[in-house]
Amino acid sequence: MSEEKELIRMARMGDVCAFERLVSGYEKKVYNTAYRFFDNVEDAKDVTQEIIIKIFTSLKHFREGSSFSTWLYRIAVNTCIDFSRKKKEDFLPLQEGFDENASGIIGEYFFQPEAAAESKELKKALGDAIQALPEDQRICVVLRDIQGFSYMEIGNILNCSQGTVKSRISRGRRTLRELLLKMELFNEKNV
Amino acid sequence: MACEEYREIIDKFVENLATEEEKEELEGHMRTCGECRSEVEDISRMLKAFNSFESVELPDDLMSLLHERLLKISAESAKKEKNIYAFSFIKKLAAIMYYFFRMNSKVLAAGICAVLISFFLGRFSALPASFKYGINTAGEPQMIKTQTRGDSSAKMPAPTISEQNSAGQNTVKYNKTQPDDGSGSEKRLAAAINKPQSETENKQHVLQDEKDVKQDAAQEIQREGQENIQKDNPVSASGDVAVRSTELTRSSRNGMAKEYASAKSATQYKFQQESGPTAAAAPSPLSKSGGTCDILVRVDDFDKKVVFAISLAHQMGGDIQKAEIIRDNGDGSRTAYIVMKIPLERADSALEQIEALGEMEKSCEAAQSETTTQESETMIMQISIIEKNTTQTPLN
Repeated sequence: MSEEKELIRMARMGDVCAFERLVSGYEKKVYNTAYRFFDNVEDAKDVTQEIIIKIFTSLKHFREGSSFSTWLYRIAVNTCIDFSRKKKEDFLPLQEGFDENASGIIGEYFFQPEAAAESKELKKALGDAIQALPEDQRICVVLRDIQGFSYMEIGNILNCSQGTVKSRISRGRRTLRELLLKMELFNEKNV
Repeated sequence: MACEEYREIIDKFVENLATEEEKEELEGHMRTCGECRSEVEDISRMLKAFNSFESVELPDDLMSLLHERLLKISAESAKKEKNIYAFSFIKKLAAIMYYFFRMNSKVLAAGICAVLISFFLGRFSALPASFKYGINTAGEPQMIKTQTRGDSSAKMPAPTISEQNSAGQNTVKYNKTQPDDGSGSEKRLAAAINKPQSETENKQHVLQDEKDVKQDAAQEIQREGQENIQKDNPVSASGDVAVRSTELTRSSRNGMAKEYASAKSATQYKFQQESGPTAAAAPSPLSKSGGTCDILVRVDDFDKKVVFAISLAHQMGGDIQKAEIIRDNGDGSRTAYIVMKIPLERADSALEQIEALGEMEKSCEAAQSETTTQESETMIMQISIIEKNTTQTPLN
């Protein structure tokens, strides 16, 4: 902890090496979160760079009493959400078109269930279905179900209550299930 | 209990966070509700699939790109911080000044007034003295005259005030207000010496020009007397009188008047040395004598004639006032300047014997005795005995 404080102090003074040492344990998790959030390497790469730079430039605003990891993930989550919203605005016609055809593509894909192994195809379908979730539900599902954050941590990162987090996660899971049912990945007979 | 109410328990159940009671309650509901049972199975599969998501590695070029960008940003932020620091300092300073001015406006006004007053006071204190007293420079001499008239022993005006006056004003004023009991000056001494001469000038028209020259020469040489006199040697003399000193002069004067001037200056110098300034300031003994007579004799046997002249004074019942031998470096000749006081009735006899010493070049008439009064019945004879020299140039 004392080392983290010293690295923060040095990074605030512009020491890039100290900053890189400071964020060395978080880079991979941030990148994976972004990757699962966007399901896209390029976007994850750009967003991760933007997140790290934002952390470096915003380090002077960090309050020493709070948790650095929580502060870091908050920046990462907010950056991901902002990036996704901006991207959605930029490609709104395409996105709408994609949404119209998405069921067809996914439906076409899932009309051939025997073509791929179930687990692999399910992960792929889940990755695609996550992108259809609203940002608040998506980030909660990613943080909880993929990255394994606790409800409390997610509440701290998103600066909201655990009940809100649970609600978002619950709604997100059911939305994903609806999507997978439409994709006929899940069997209707079970219903 | 509706299916909607089991969703919270289902979320806990799929994550193994539900209590035993919740589990039994949910399992009892799922036996009768296929929808909830299917939901639990699907979500459990989703979570199982999420857990099987592999962690992706960072792209190879991500950290290198990030490092370059961070270095660039760090350099730019360092520049900005400098500018921001300077700007913020100015901004803070302005804010502090504004706040201070608002809070202490009266104090600031008083301070500004104090500075202005001290400035103008300093300006006025640097003005000349005439501005202080409120009079023009033309009024100054009057003020000084008033001071000097009120007290004869008043001090001279202050130098600072005197400096304001012109040189001419100062000279006139000083001469007018100079007290008579001041210390003796060379000028007044020369005037005292010349006073008897001026009384007899009607009878000595021939020597008048030479006396004038002597007077001028005495004033001139008196300034240089101390440099010219190099040594004092006692000279042995026969009888009671001794020639007190022999003074060598470097004067290169050729004329007789200049020799007289040398002799006169030497005499004055001796007076000053022997009697001091007060004696010099006192009236000269010559001025109290009944008459004076200047005699100039050129002789061959200088030493004998000088001794004779000195002894003559005693023979005639008189006394020697002054006896000096002066050597002129110019031609090597000596001049004995003897001042003797002779009783008036024996002055003619003494004059004849002095004339018999050698070639009389200048003589006086015994008729000078007519200026004598009852209180003075002696004659002062100023005898100059000049040693003959072949190289000596004749007197004018």
